[in-house]
Amino acid sequence: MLLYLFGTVILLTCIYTARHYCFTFNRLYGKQRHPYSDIDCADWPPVTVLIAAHNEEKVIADILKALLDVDYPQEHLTIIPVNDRSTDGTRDIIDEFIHEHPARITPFHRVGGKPGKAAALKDAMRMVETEIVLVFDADYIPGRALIRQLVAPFFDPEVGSVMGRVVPINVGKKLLTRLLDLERSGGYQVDQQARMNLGLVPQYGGTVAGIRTSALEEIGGWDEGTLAEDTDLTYRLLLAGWKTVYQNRAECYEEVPERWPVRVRQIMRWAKGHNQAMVKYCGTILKQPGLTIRERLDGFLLLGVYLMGPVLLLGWGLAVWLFYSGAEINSQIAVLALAGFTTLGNFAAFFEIAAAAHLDHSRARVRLLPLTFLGFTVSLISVSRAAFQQVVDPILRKELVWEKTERSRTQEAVVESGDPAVLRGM
Amino acid sequence: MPVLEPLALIAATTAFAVLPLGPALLESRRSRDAAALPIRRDDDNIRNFAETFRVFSRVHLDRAAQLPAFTHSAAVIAHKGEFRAFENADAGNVRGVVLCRADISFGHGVIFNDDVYCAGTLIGGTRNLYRAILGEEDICLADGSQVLRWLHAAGSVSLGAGCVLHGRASAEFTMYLRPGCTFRRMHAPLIAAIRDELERKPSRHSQVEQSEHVAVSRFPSRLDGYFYLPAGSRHEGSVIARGRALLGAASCLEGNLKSHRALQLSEQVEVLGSLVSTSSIYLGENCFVRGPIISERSVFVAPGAQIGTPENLTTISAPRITISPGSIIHGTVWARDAGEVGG
Repeated sequence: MLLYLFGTVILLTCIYTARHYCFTFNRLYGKQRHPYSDIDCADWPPVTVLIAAHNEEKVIADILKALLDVDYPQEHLTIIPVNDRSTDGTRDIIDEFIHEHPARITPFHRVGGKPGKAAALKDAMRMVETEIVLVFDADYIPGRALIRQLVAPFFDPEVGSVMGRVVPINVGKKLLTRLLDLERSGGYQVDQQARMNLGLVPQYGGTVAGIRTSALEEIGGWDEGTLAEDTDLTYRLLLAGWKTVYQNRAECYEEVPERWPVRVRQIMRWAKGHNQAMVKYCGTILKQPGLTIRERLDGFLLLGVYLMGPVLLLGWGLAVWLFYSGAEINSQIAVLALAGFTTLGNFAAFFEIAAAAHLDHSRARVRLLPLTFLGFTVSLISVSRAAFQQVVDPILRKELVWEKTERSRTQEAVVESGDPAVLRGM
Repeated sequence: MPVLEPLALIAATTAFAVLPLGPALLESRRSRDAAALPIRRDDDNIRNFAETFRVFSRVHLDRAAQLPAFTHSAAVIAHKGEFRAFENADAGNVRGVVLCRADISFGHGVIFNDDVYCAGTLIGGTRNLYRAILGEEDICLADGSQVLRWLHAAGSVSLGAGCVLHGRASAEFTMYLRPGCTFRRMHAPLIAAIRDELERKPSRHSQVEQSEHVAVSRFPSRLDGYFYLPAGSRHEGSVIARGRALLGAASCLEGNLKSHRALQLSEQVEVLGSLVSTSSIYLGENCFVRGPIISERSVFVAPGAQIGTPENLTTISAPRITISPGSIIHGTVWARDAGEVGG
């Protein structure tokens, strides 16, 4: 029995390993799809930018400044900072900007209601009158052309949402930020773009992202009961026939966690939200008509990524148990498979990160690759803990709680122009 | 009891375990590559190169004008911090940035190894090779000329037959291209493929006609197969077709159209939105498309077609683009692999 369970774990691991290699090789050698990135002039539609802000006094001014400077027709751009029950100075900072730019910024000060980004965005949608909505978290710093790059795919009537690339700005602060920088590179530069290339399911990430309001209406709006509104939205759009597009060249700086406890809380929230989506959609995605086989398969596997943490831990535990209990695995094929997997399989995710660093023309940062195992282990344990809590909490009648990621910025973020960008004042 | 062997074993094992971490630990301590990845911060404006070069050229022209030897020179060459007069005798191979104070005509078969700036109108000879050109008025390149990097005219650009634009080309007013021209990225309020001067004509679709806002359904029609709009008919709303899409002659689509197969517009079709295809797009004679045209394979624009309007510039984007003489485009044409003006 345990052997069969162990075999299942190995099978699942092999499937995800193959997926990683498939994405990485596609990104390195396959045909790249950027169909919308060349649209540089058009009759640009009216757009609303929502900035989700809950106690964001450290960062809100930077994003408002950056958005006021973007290269998009001013008369077609509405900026709405969504001040969600902030208890710090966020409201005052926003009001100061409104005083200086009354025609360009429309505030939404939320003082009550359900906590969480999805709930705040849902309330803020009442103020939105445009067909296209872009969403940013408050710690992001958009470049001048970013709004146009995120809006361009909406000329395709099939596109329901758009996702841009997130690039950490506070890379040099700590080892953690450097590891997260590599991880983000792998996730966007390789994983998301490969899914775009292969016609799979690029993921709407909830920030540096855009959504078509008619698509949002069709799927019933934001679901405030979910911890990961982005994953939830990706699947509801997909099931309703809308496409999510990834724009690798729509890059935007973000601040990544600088302390391990913050990182642990962040990834646990992601894992819980993602697992929520898995429970909701894993059956539907396989049966829904209108999806291609590729979309079904990738959508299904994407739902399971955070479940692979506890599965892998279980596999390690089983391996140790079976070894010391003297279980008989006589087949030479099993030994060969194990050797083969150990040589190649365990490194699939790291291969993806290395490929991303290569594509980003990074020089020395790829040398940190062996240390990403540290981040991987922390994530593995956190994700498994989150899954365990999700099973146990309903029994103990504990509610899922949305936890905001703590910010570390202390001064205005400035990235000097030139190559490479140098961060100062952080 | 042997001591050396176990110690050696422990040392060797530790070395094997730690050595691969050496570069990582060194980088972690030294942080030699710890800056944020550079991201695109500019506005991706096609004129950016020209703007930078304009500043450089004007500074150097002013400097040259202060030197007695060049007070009356119409054109100078700036090379390695020194100036010399430009004469067409240089024909053949010109090294250094050419700075022209007024209108200028170049000879034939000249190779310009560095950029060219012209404060007036520039007229080039046949089969010239330029690195980059900035003209403050019009630029006329004769048959068989090539521009390796970029070209920008504050006036209009006229390209003779068989010209090759390897990089960016833009004009503040009009770009005229003749058969056999090839291009990558072009932008102008009016891009016209013509056979001769007599063909130059204004846009058919006026501002009044195009400024009407079309009130159509926000939800697209989704078709599992083929989409056919009969000749002479009108459809309101966007359409997504998994199969091919064919719009019959003189039909009108008030919305956007996406096809997962080939998309074809017959003659005199009007589309008031965008066209998107994961395959190829064919625009028939005298068609009109108001919004962007995006194809993941190729776009063919037949004679008489008009894309965009003078008031609403738009974009055609595809790996391969062919535009026929007699067609006009308002905005950007971006051929990722190859673009050409048909014969």
